[in-house]
Amino acid sequence: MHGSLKCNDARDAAAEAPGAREGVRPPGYLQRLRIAPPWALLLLTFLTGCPLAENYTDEAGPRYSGDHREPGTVASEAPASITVVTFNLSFAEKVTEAITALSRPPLAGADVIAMQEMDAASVDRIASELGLAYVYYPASVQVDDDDFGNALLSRWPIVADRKVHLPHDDPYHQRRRIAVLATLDIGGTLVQTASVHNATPIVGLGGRLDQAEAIIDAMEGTGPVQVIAGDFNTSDPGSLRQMVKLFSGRDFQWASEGVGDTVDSVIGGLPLDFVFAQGLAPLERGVDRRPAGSDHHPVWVRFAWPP
Amino acid sequence: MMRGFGIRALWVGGTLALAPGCLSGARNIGAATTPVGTTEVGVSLNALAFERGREQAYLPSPELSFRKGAGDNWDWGGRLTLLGLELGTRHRLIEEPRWTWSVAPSAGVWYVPVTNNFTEPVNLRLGAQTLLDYRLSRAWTLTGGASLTGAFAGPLTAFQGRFNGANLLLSPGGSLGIGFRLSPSFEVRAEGGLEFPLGLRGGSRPPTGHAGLTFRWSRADRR
Repeated sequence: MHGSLKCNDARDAAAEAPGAREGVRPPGYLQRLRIAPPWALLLLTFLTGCPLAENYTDEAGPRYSGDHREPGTVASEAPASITVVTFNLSFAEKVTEAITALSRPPLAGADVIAMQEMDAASVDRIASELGLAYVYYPASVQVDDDDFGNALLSRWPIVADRKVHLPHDDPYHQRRRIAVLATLDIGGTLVQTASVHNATPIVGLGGRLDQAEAIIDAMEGTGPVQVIAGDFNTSDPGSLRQMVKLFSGRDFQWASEGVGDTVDSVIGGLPLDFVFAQGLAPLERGVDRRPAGSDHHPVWVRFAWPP
Repeated sequence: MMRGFGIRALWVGGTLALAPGCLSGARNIGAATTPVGTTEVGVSLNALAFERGREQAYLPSPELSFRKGAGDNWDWGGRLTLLGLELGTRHRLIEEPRWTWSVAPSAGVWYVPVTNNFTEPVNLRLGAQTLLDYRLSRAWTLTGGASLTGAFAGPLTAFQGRFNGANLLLSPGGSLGIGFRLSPSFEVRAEGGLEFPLGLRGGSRPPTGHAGLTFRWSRADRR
């Protein structure tokens, strides 16, 4: 949801250009000054572009994983239901608040947590506090020099995982987006999961639909039970409808349908975070709107089990 | 309920404010060149049809245009939006009592945050249009047009030498318009047209279209 502010650097540089501080001006200067800046800034922006993102383009990494589940507490029998949460933690700046939110009902005891805008240390801390296994892949380095990526945390063993590079780097920074895929063993049933963070509307809707389809394609044929959860950045008009239509056309159910807005923004509430599922029947769903350390609210869905 | 209305109003307002950042194929001109010593200024109110996601979307797009007579058989001019400029010439090849045939090459640069469907907000277009006027009466003129435009469409980072997400497009198109001269110095023109973009990588894309009204005034230049 957040965009980099680095493009402002160009405007700042233009405002501080040496010529702007000279004392003697030719006649007509003031008139030109009033006309020139917008066009000069536009030209400057065209010519210089924006600072390029530092992406992790490696196919397999960097990869971080851990298992903080307490020996003996891991369920050996199949549960009566499983709960999936998706939560964009907004640059992972308020981890303590997030842990508090994830430790109270209805999020407490979640079987799977898909997280976005994370760095490795924050993921490890959350997994450690909640007693979960995790896998985390950063997609790029963010403006604060922290890594920026997706994680999947699970009460159940993670038996396989991988990173999927999404098409269409953003046109201003060339920032790459990824999805993190993991196979979970839930009481002997393999569940394919994905933590998604699509590009913002800086990338056109066609590009973001391609990103979602790349994830569906990557999971196709991996098993009958699949969950795709994350921040789909569907803030622009009509994008939610087309995103849901894409998933429906590929036999995914919008499991979190009807939960409402998931982000508070300056223009009001926005529906950005979703859970889509295949082979699972949702029983309950909701958004925990209490403060959780992010502008996004955690979205949860409880599915019947076994599938 | 009021909050929902406010959000929608904000979106609509924002979209309209950015509407000039749309790529438009509407040229809204006929084949007759502007006489030497004359300048024409036009205001167009177009509706654009464009690819959005995997569907078509529609937006209003206001434009300004001008033409200036440069010779017996040619003029030059352009059209301007807040974030786009196209300049070109128009050359009259054949003039008969009932009809006129011209060609109009043009080049343009557009920044299109609104109608960008992928990662290509910067568009550089080079193309030509051939125009045929058929005069139905002293006041009414029918204009048919065919165009071929080549375009570079890419990210802003192309200016830094990073072309990931850039495309080369070829867009054949056609238009049909009708002009009505209300007075010697004022014309109203309605025009509709289609373009069929073909990506040199990735094949064809959904057609784009325009329909709109242009109000055009002409006046003799001061000497």
